Amino acid sequence: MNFQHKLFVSEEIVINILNRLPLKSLAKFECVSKNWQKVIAEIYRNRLWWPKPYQIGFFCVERRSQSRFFFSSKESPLLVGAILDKSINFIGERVYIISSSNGFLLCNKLRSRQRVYYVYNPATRQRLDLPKTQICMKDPYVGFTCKVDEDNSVSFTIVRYETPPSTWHELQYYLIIESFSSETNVWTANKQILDVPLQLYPSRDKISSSSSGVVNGVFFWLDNNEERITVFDSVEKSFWAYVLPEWRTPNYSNSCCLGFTGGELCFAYNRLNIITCWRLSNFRSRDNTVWVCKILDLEEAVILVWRFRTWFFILLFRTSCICK
Amino acid sequence: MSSSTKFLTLKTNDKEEFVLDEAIAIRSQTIKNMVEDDCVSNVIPLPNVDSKTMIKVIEYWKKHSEEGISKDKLMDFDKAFVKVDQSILYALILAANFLNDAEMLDMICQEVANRIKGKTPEEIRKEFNIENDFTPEEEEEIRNENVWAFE
Repeated sequence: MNFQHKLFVSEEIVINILNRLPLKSLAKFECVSKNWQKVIAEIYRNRLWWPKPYQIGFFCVERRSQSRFFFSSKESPLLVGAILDKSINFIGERVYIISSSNGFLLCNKLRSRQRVYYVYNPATRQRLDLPKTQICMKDPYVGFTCKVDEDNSVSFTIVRYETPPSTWHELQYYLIIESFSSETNVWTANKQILDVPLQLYPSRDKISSSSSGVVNGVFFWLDNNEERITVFDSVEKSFWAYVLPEWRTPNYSNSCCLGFTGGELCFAYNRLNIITCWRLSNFRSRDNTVWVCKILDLEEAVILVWRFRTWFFILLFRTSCICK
Repeated sequence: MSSSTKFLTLKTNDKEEFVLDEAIAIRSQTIKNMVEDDCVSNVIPLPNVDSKTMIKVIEYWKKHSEEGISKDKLMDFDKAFVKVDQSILYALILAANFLNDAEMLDMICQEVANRIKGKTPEEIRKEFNIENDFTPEEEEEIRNENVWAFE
């Protein structure tokens, strides 16, 4: 064989070439040699935020049961079901998806009483471990928002709070809100005095996600009494609650969810297989918000409903059905 | 030709000499550094580059230095430029690396990436002359982890 036919190059050039390969090729080439495996691991680390996750598909973990994970990306088409490749098998075994934003997932690992959070990019299968939280919360409500700038830099914010279980039947006059910003890389806990005292319910489930949404720095959670949503404006630093529409309907609890789509906060409710969706207009104003009702038309909306034993369901619909 | 045009003589490892406008030759960061440090005597030796490869490099430099050339034309040129035999492509990588021309190196690395992207690990080892230092069990384990990539 011709000497020149084989490539004798520095590691720098190997990195330059491998860096240009799609994820699928890299995964294939990991077994070429130990050195390539090392180089590819390094590329994975650098690519944590690149390529951006594709924002089609959705993610969920069934409560107290076998995990299911769904996602879609350009390189591995939509995967549905419980049997997936090993690289994501860790989800569901002490690791739970608690929120998603912009295609990134916020995951939670239970380590005795301590909760360890990390951000996961399903497109690159890379994770970023976050520092330990400042305070210990047993069943927090968690909100997560992730922003991808034009230069592809990613920043995210996490906000969490907890209603002390022993006092849930009493009015709360203050809350401890703990937040994390990727810019500072630290958790900070602050006492939030409530203008209007609220009776708040503790988050019901230790492992599953709190139904939540974030719009322009305003975090929303479905409170577990399912009569209202709680709101935290991280810019104005205020916390309040809205009453949900039609909350007196029978079997209302356990069949509603809160989501954020197309720039709007949406609340969906499933009764007798009819899904009713509301969007919250004027959400930043505490006194002038209005719930706008929209019965979803199956033809115009792509609706994926998975109902589990626990009546937990997730909705995914085209933003167009909300915007119309 | 303006009187200020300076020429450099580049000498490849097979003793061929190339006389080149300095403005073009300094596309190579290596040559540029030599010129700036004033350590250019009459002839610049290029011990890592042969004449066959140097002809291609100069062809690239000249095209990319043409005044008023359109982006489309350059793209067409680049496309044709990398359509060469594997051995020439690899020689060009080494030359671009030695001459420190990041633009050319990136372009060729992209071409190599395009060529190898669909290959199997075995083909890669052959191509890059890499010895498989995994045990069969280790390799099997890594393959199993990435089984989706082989589908």
